[in-house]
Amino acid sequence: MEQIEDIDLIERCKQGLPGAFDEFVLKYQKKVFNVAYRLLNNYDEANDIAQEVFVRVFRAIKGFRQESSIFTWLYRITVNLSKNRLKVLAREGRRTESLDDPISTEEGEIKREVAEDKPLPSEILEREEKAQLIEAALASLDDEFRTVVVLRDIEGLSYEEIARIIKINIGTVKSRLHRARLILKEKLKGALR
Amino acid sequence: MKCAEVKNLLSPYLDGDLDEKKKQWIDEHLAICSSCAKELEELKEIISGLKKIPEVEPPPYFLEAVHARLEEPSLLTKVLKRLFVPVYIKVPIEAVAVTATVIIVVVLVQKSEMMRMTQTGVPVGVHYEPYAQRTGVPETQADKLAKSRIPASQEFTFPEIHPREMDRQMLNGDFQKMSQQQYGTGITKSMETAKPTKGAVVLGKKAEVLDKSAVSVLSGYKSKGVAGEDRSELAVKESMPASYEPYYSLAKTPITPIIERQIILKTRELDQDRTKLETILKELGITNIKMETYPDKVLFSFPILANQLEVLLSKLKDWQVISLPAKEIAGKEETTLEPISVKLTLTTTQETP
Repeated sequence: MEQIEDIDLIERCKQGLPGAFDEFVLKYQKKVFNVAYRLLNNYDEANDIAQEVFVRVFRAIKGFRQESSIFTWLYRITVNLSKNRLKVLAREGRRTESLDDPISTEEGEIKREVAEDKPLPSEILEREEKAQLIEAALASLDDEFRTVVVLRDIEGLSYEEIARIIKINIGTVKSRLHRARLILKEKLKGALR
Repeated sequence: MKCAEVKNLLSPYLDGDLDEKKKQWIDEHLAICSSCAKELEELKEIISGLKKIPEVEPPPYFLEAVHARLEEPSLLTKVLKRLFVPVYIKVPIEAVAVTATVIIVVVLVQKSEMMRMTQTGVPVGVHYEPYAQRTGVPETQADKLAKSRIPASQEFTFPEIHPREMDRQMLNGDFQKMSQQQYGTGITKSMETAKPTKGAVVLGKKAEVLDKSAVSVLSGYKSKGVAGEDRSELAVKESMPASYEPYYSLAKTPITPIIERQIILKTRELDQDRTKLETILKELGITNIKMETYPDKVLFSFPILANQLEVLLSKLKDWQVISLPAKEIAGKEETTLEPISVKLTLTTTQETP
């Protein structure tokens, strides 16, 4: 997954060469931000966590050994920080999934609508609405399920990588993923047809 | 294969995670079972729908925000900051008398990296946060401050030697060598964007410019710059002569002399006058000059001896000087041998402080 440029960039970051860290942030900011966003379901929280991720990276990059993938490392920090934040927010009684957050699609932002349990007539559904529904359904998953779905179906990581990132075994990844997808299917029952 | 089994395996089937045999079985089953086939289609649609979820853009200036966070003081620093409330002592120029200044160095310890000074008398565990708390008050009050403000539990030690001695040791550049050995240029460079101290205490008698605009010069600036711009170059001009370099490694330490003189010069040609000033300073044999460049002003910070200062002041008469230390101070006997720390601002802004 890693190219020569990635390894070179990390080397430069480790040496503290000027501009290297900035380059690093610019390169990975969107990815980190999006993972955080899909896990936290809140733009501001995601911003907070994403920045924190890079702060951690900056402070720890010197000790980073290139044997492990930079992606795994980045993902792990992001997932961990996001999860911790979710726990804190849950404790405070706040649900981070503000389903009022507008969803950004190719056509611009659209207000999100919660998928209802009743199946919706397929004739009135348009593409954007489908996308909305999927996003909403994803957001409504439990944290553990949402995490594996985000990592697998949105980030495209392999089972092994997911297992390494969340520190669970592969079997758990598979079963959790499968169950998550089934839940999604149930939530979206009929709405996609 | 039974439907229940198949349905359970549809996920790995879609992910290509099944071995050939199982895959084949499922293929065969799907060919004849419409219920399972339907299930597969539904799953496929969900997965492809998920893949299509659009990426969101991080907010603009995300990089800047990260930098701002990096420069944020650690919790320890924040606590200590609150203990040292900046103190303004405005003293009329006529009533000035030379007093010794004591530097109270707040030494902070950061978890991941600590710099040990092996030079004599220099405190152990000096922190290299971008800016440190500096307070200086006339000697008599300083001791009281030290005793009252600093809780015993703090992890730092006071210098064993006289602060002036410490100044001299620091200024002669050995410090720089040591820090370079330990850290290379990496952290130095990233610390170059460090904010000057917020709420820096402006020493009563020595700092002549005693109102807010001067302090605003000292208090932080936001890291500007577009994405991709080499941030570490912001505060450092590439054309900076080599003699300026050493000071940057000093910048990462909290021990810097108290600003004892503040001079503000107005100019209409920032670049020209900056060069002129650089020349003047070099001619005087002043080293360890730190230069911070902003769009509308340039800040010079450097140590200077009293006699050098006199010469400098005479050369500065050509500029429109907003403020200037009084002659009496510059000529005082006691300070002849001690280096004085000067903060000189060359600015194009027309407001009078």
